Amino acid sequence: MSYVKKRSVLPIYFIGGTWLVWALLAPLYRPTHYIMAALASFIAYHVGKMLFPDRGYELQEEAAAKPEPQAAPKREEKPKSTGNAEIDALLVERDRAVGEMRRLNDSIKDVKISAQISHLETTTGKIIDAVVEKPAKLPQIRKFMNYYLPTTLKLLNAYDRMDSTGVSGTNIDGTKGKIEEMLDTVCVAFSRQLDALYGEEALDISADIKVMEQMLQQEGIGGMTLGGL
Amino acid sequence: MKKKIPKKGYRVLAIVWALAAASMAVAVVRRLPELNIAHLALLAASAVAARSFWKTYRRTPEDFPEYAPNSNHDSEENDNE
Repeated sequence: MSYVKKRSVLPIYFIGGTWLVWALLAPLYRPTHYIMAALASFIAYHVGKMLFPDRGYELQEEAAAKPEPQAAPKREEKPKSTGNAEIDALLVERDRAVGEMRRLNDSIKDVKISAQISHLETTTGKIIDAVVEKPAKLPQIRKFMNYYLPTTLKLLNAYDRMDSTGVSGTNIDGTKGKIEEMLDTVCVAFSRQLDALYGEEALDISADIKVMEQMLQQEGIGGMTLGGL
Repeated sequence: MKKKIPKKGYRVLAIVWALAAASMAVAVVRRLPELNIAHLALLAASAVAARSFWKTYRRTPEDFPEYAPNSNHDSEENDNE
């Protein structure tokens, strides 16, 4: 379907290399020298591009090599476009992450871990839904999407792999124990992330309450005086 | 949206700026008898830039090949529809 382009970095290194070679072999102390060095590096960059072009491949091949998770039946269907590319991408990520969590939940037999995965699944869905509702909150969950969520899935995948061996040993038991401990922290962190998304709203509501209280007091119908009416 | 620079992107920037700083150092050494403050300023600026990119590179978390939420965040890859 989509085409993935892998950019070659060597032409960029050619720029730095050209400056170094220029500084070693040619004068570099007048503005004209800097302009000439810049031109030389520009040429070197394009020569590098010709010698080491960007490579590309179809994403479909990659998808075939890495099988998609089986779960997430309804959400896996092609999501409707919201008109915002970032939100569309977020929805795709939500479906992928939630699907992966469901698959892991089915695979992992431990009751406590299963309950924790269910909690993470629900919280992740709610976090992303909150951002879909208010896209201005997107920067708040960038780290969550780019680091915390994939790392959690990576840990859960590792747990699943080790659990499925059915073997007990220092490495397997130790790692599983560490992941179990970490999951407690992760559950709290995910909940806090969701809570943080409502921080601004809480502030607004608290301000509204304060204003309303003041108005009621000014009008003489607030607090204790209300009973006197 | 401001595009996120991946860890490998910071490495490329750090290497390029380190090369630039090395070039400036060579230029300064070659003109040592007629030392110019502008050359020193360029050397300092490029060294600071290189150091800053190295620090950012070391601080940036690893990219995750097992589950990458956004494939275009991975190293030097860009998705083109």
